[in-house]
Amino acid sequence: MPNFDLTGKTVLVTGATSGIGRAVCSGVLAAGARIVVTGSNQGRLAGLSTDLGVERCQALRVDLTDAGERDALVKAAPALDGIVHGAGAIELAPAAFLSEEKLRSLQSLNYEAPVLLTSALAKGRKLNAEASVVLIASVAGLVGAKGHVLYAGSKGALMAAGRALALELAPRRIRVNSLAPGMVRAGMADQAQGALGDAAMEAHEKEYPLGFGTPDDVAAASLFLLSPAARWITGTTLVCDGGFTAR
Amino acid sequence: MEINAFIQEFEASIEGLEAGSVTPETKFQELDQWDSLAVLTTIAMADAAFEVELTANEILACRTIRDLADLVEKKRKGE
Ligand SMILES: NC(=O)c1ccc[n+]([C@@H]2O[C@H](COP(=O)([O-])OP(=O)(O)OC[C@H]3O[C@@H](n4cnc5c(N)ncnc54)[C@H](OP(=O)(O)O)[C@@H]3O)[C@@H](O)[C@H]2O)c1
Repeated sequence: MPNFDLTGKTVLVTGATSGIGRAVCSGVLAAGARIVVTGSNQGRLAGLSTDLGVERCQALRVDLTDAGERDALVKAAPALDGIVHGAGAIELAPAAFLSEEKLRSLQSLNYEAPVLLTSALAKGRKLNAEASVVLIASVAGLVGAKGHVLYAGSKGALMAAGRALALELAPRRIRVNSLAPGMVRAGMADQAQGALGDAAMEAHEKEYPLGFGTPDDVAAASLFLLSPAARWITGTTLVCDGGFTAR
Repeated sequence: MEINAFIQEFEASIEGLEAGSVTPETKFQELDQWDSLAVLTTIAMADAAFEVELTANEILACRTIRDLADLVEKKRKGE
């Protein structure tokens, strides 16, 4: 029988206050694990831990783009059986209007933070044997879309790094996989809607055979990758996009 | 802000648009060059040249270049 149970495990969720992160937290708790949740905004983080109930939930405020704060997180974190790297940002701009500053800030949060945090947790012996690392990437890292140069580069880099990490951590049966969602009704989709307009978003949804997704859809896929049921899956990308990239 | 200054920035930013091809009365959404990338470009141009934040819906609610320039001017004055 495949085993989807996370009882007795501890899972770190970054970007826990996001639409997707929050759904992952609820799912992980329901599957029986304890969680460590992080976000950079203290108020939002406090609200989240109140909602989730403090018993199996430890909240740590951290700006993941700050090396010192990442170190503090590694020190404070318990030994982990899973990580869902959900923190991320998007910046839509045409190629002629890219700035070095925007490129660096996006790269810093979407690529450097999850890679360096995973590295530091591995070095700090905070990843238990058989742990599962889930990198939340995006279909934007797999197929081109106008205005997405910076975001695509950051998520593509993340998926590539995930494959190499998977090979290095395999001796301890630690698995590393990416999850590439398409458009999900959560914070980032609202931002896209502001930049593209209501009509363009409506037209975009028509390109999704199953329509846009929900945070729970992404949470379900994350839960699978975290669970013992996925014990033979590492170094890959699970596309979760309602058929958007199937064409 | 002079409307001509706005037109110059608009023509220089939108891919494939010739200098001198746009007037204050141009219905910019009917231009061949107008597409979803042009919306993003207009947002980026307004930010870079006039330090104004526009949303796509605000832009798409404008009919002519003059409407668009007026919107940018209003926002610049913080109205
Ligand atoms: N929504 C979509 O359509 C979609 C599609 C594909 C992939 N994704 C990916 O899924 C993830 C979540 O997306 P979402 O739409 O749910 O996101 P969101 O609502 O925009 O939330 C972003 C999250 O990142 C955290 N964060 C931002 N800057 C941070 C920093 N410097 N340090 C620590 N945390 C920081 C935020 O926490 P604070 O508010 O506390 O800073 C928040 O929890 C992202 O990686 C995104 O790229 C989303």
